[in-house]
Amino acid sequence: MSMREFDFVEPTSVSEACALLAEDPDGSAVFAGGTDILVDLKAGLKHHQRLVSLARIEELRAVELTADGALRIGATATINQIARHQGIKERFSGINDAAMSLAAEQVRNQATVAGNLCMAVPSADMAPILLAHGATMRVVSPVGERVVPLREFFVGPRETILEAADVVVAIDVPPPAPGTGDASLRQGGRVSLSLPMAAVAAVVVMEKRICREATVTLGAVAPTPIMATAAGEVVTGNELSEDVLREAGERAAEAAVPIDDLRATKEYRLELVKVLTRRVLQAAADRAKG
Amino acid sequence: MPRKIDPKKEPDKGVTRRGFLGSVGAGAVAAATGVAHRAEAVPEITEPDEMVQVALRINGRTHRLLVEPRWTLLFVLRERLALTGTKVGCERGECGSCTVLIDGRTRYACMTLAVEAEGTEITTVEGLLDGEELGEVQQAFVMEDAFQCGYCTSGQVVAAEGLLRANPSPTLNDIRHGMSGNLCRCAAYVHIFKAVDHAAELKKGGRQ
Ligand SMILES: Cc1cc2nc3c(=O)[nH]c(=O)nc-3n(C[C@H](O)[C@H](O)[C@H](O)COP(=O)(O)OP(=O)(O)OC[C@H]3O[C@@H](n4cnc5c(N)ncnc54)[C@H](O)[C@@H]3O)c2cc1C
Ligand code: FES
Ligand code: FES
Repeated sequence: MSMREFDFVEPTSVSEACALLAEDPDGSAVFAGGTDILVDLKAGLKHHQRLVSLARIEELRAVELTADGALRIGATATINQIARHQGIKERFSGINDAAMSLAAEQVRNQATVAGNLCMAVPSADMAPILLAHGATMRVVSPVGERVVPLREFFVGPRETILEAADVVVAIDVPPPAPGTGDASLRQGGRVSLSLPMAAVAAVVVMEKRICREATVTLGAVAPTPIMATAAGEVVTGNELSEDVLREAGERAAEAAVPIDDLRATKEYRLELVKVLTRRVLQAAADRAKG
Repeated sequence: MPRKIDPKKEPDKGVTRRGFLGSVGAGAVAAATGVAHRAEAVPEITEPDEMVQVALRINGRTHRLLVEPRWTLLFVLRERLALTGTKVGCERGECGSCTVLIDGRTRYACMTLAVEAEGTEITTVEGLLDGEELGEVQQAFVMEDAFQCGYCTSGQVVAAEGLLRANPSPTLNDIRHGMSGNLCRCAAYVHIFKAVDHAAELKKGGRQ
């Protein structure tokens, strides 16, 4: 399986990376872990004249939990850097769920969180939970830096708002309110090395048994990862009774617009959304402390 | 060796390192400490000076060689360095037969470019020998009869080594999860899981 030739450049600063991309925006691509790009190049689905690797840019590697509880994921932080991070396991269990569900060890050691979002496939495992947490993307271009809410980042399958010379430098997750619990659940054909047929994530804020706030998001059941706002509203102000959870599942399924494909039928995906929504809300609430 | 030039491509496509440095401002040149790698279209007739010099540390030894940026580590290990213990399977990150350790962590060599691996410590199945003897994980695979045709075995052994370095006392569930990036077409899974468990004990100096 051989690839067509390309130049591989390894800048050591973000500004240099932007400059390299800006020289030939159409012929270049950012190269992070390469787990998506190399598959496309090998299959001949894409060709890039120049790959601009971010690997040698020191400052992009970090994963930081700040004192106020916010999380910053650098652009080249791998999925396993997240999955093995003790603080994330404790404070953002749902982000750990999502990381552990992606592919298998070898891929998690290489694939980046930012690359997963930038690739923008509807089934991207890191997307629903980061969307539910209200994450933002820090984007640098040759003309400056901007912050884009993840909610506005996805445009369609494999399509984002990124311009050719844009580099995502970090993903910021705001500090969760006291009493927050989160979870991410997905169903694939098998546990490892399979993309989800449907995925649901939830972030809830609990006060004793009452849910004060709930955000539900879906993956693999629409052209992009999406918010299921109505599902969250059903839960808000209520105890998580069986009826409330079932109703939330129905609302979530109404937000979904799945397709039939080789992994699952539309109908099966809608059923999965209902079941996963109930389970993920319960799991998030069980984890909430406060 | 003569170099074939494609006149349609040559003038504007492809950016040489020199071309890049000439095309950006002086400030950027000063900042451009990054490495630029240039590949050629037809591997057999590419002139060595159009390839990139890399130094790869493999099993404790440094190999200096010329590579094309599009060459995977898997290709370089097998076809340039004759380290054929690392096997070719799917070549798209889905089977695990090409598993190697990079800085102690498991990676698919088919999904890693050789140029990316510069500056890292690479370990292949050959590097898991204990002198002339089999290493602990290799021994455990023999003792537990953890293969049939053996094609997936070197990948399984390296994956097990990576798993045990990260988690010296894995549960059966940790093993199943940790080894799930390696397929075995002969489905020797039960024996493979036993071998990983056995290897964990051998590494701690236990059960022979
Ligand atoms: C065998 C296998 C199994 C997989 N299983 C799963 C799975 O279960 N779930 C799942 O969600 N994914 C899966 N994937 C897909 C893939 O591993 C992820 O999407 C991965 O996180 C992509 O990250 P990367 O760093 O490898 O991206 P790359 O391949 O380096 O880049 C992906 C895309 O994003 C762009 N990009 C990357 N970083 C940036 C940046 N900082 N700024 C701007 N653009 C950027 C690139 O230009 C490219 O278009 C699998 C892949 C393989 C090979
Ligand atoms: S050959 Fe690399 S994973 Fe199959
Ligand atoms: S022993 Fe034959 S593929 Fe695993």
